[in-house]
Amino acid sequence: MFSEENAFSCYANRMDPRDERLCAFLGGAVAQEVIKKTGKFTPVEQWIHHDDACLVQSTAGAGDYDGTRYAHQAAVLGTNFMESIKKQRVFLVGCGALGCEYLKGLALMGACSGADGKLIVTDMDRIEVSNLSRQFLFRQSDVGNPKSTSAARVVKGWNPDLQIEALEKGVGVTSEDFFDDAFWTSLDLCWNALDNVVARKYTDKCCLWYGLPLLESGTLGTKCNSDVFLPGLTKSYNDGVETDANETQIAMCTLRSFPFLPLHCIEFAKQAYFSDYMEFAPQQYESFRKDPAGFFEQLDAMSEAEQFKALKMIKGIIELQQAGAIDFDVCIKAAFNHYCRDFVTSIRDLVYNCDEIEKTTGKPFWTGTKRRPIEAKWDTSAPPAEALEYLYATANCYAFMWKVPFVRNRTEFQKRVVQLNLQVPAWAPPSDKKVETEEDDGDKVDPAAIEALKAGIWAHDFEKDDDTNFHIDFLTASTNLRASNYDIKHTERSTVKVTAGRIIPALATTTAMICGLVDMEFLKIVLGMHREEGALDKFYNANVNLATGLQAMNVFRPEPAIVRKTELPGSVAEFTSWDKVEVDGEIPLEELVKHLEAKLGGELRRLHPAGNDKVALYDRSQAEMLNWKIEISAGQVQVEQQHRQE
Amino acid sequence: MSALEGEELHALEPTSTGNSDRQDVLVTGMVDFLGHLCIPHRSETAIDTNLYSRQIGTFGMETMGKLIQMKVLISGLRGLGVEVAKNLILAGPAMVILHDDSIAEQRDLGANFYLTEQDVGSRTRAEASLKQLSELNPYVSVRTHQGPLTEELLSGVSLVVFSETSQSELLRWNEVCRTRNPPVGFITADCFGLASSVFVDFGESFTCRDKDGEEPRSAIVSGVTLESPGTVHTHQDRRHGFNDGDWVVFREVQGMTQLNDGKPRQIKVTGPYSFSIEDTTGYSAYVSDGIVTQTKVPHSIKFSSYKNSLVQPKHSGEEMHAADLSASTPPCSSHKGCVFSLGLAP
Repeated sequence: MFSEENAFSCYANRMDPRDERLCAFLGGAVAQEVIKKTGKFTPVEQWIHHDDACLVQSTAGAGDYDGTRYAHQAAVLGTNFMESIKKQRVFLVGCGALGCEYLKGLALMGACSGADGKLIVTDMDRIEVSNLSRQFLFRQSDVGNPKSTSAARVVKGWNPDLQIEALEKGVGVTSEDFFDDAFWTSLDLCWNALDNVVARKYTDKCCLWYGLPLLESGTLGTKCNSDVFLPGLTKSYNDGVETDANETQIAMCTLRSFPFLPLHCIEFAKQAYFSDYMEFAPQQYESFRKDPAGFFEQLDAMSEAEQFKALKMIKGIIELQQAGAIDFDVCIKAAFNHYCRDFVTSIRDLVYNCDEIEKTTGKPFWTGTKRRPIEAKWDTSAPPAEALEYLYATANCYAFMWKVPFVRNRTEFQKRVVQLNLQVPAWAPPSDKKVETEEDDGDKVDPAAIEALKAGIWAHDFEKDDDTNFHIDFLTASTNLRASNYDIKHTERSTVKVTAGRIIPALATTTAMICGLVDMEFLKIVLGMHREEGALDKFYNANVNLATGLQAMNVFRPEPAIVRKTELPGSVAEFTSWDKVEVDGEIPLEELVKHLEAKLGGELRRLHPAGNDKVALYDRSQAEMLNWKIEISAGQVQVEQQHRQE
Repeated sequence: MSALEGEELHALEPTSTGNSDRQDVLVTGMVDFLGHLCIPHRSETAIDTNLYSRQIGTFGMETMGKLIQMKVLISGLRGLGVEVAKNLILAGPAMVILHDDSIAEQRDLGANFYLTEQDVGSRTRAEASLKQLSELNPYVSVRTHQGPLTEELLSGVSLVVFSETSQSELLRWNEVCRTRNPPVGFITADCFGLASSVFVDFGESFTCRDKDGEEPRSAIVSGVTLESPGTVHTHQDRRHGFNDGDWVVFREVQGMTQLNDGKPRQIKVTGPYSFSIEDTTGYSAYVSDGIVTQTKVPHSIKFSSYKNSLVQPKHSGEEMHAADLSASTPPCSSHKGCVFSLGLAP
């Protein structure tokens, strides 16, 4: 524990030098406070104080570094520290928002800038416009270029001594020929700047195996967290992580028939409407058109519901084409068919069926989460605005599929719709055929019609960030038509984009802040604090929510490694996921077995390769079988099991 | 909190209760089809929803609309100043004014990553950082101000961030900011070696519209008792997820229609599927249905002046909140240390 006196000296004596990591941390927090002036989120209750006194080194003064760019840092952390940090060999996995911040920090710190130092950064992605609001090393002119090489170029420009190597490889089981033993054993630590659990689990596995410290962090909007994983000391990432369970799993019947939240409308628009009409239908159609025989083979493998859906969609597309050449008017008609089916007819069918249930059972049906929908309206000569929005987006999506020119001009579009004199088909109660049972087998489709299908159709590939492709427009229009059916609040386009596009909200402020904190943990590792007494008390994991003032800044000590008992008679009574038995060079299996038995005590029953407990490299019971006697007498096989002779 | 994965679904319901300005330019269904405006990023004054999409996911369009009108002055451009400037410019305010007439030194290169060897001894920190900062975001106007700060400069400015500033200057400018109408936001921040402090002051009466940025949750009502206080029961297929002190509004309640007045009510949580509201004994009996939704009620915060806060850190005079739970220094001593060192600064 640091005393008050030391705290004073920390302030008084170190007044002049500035620690860059704290600047990064505060820079994020302060910028967020500035934005809070708009009234969004709770400002801090005036003061924030943050310090990390365990980093103060008794070796004072900048020494030779005085007057250089490292003057501040050396003054605070000492010249020995400077020598250590220059020699570091760091693997930075990922070069997105977190990666850019970390590269900046490393360059400023002078890390990996000595002859023996090395900084390897890898990222498979290329730069997109939506990255630019956080990934500040990139500019508009970099869009399309690889992230790692672009970022490396910038930071090397700031600090030419930085020994940086930029790669575009993913990190995982498929790149193990590149990131091999030699690679990992040459590192001092691994530094995560990732956006998915799979990669995090992988790097953690490697760090466990090679005994490397791992720095980990993540952000989600205003929330962020950081973790330090230290060999032999802490729990590892794999110890703590939960599986990818989706908390917000929505029941199918809720989506299909009984939505009550805007989210239900958005999800259904994406999973059903967009997915079926814009992706699935054209894909199935193309597969059918190009290779009917192959298509039917693949159809058999699908579930009945899927089969039916595929055939119905293909039939629908064929019918549209039978009227003549495809032009934009046909696209409008296709859109109108969907409008009628999804927002008029199916709604009336549902209400009818459920009202019948209510009549039969005598119990109120439309209660609790079940909202009674009303069908959408239509007026041939003066179509409602909501309907037009839908038709506009949908017809243009069809235009894409058939390579027909778009009609973006709204006045012209409305005119064409009115001219087509579209009528909603007369509705009749579903009665006996609750589900259409048309026998939609391929045999029933006129072979001549198939011959005539020369026109191909293009499937859409959902792209949320392209404002000109009508995808988000389609989703917004269908979401809100459905919401209107059920009297649910409408959703703004930007919200539909974020939800349907599964966009992770991200801010530069949160990123900068958490990276500043992780940088400080890096300093501690460079100082070797993880090898000292009481190390766990000196490292911090953090969990912060910038939205709620400083009430939600939690900094806590990393959790110690889970220690399990071996219950073996030998000298190894306990172990953690970090422990291993090391063997130099190659060794025959039999000797390995003896070696392990000598080291750990007891009897070795089975030996599995890492991560695969289904396959045994060695199985004692099978080895013993070599000694069994097998006899055949009186027509019977007799086995005399004998234990292995020692 | 477990690690955050790329595939997590961000469950959303609209934040707007319908009353506040809708900054979203693409409005569906509410506006005549022909009156519909063009795609936003082609229009100059609208918000670039492609560039800002990830941030709109957190802030929402309404806040973005306010943010793009902000003018911020940043005085002091060493490490902290440039970091604040960078993060802020990325977010997209209307204008950022940089102020730092100190000539760049070699050791500044260790923290302000936009300074180069060429700037050392020849350019001011503000001038040297200007080009790179303005390239971060084409929608933000970035300029410098030479010479001492003046009160005229504050015209139209929403907020000032000070670092590297003397105590006397801070006291003076805090007074100036507080007395403007409307008050100019005031933030001062400094690092002293491995310790740091930030002070925030948004004036006597600041309106916070959204205390935590969380999406409002809704729940289906399944029952309301007639008692004091009344208890509301919600459908058991999903926890309501509300917190004590939340404000909610009701609609479509059958029977106890007094609840449908659209007025926000503060609640007290009594269980995962229940919470209490006002005295309902005089109301008509609950029959069925009803949706209850969280609503954001703006609240006013009174900030203490810099001068007063130095002596008495929290406005109410209570113990200061620790910035971190395992703090190596107790917060009060950090505060005293900070005050002490600020006093010593020239």
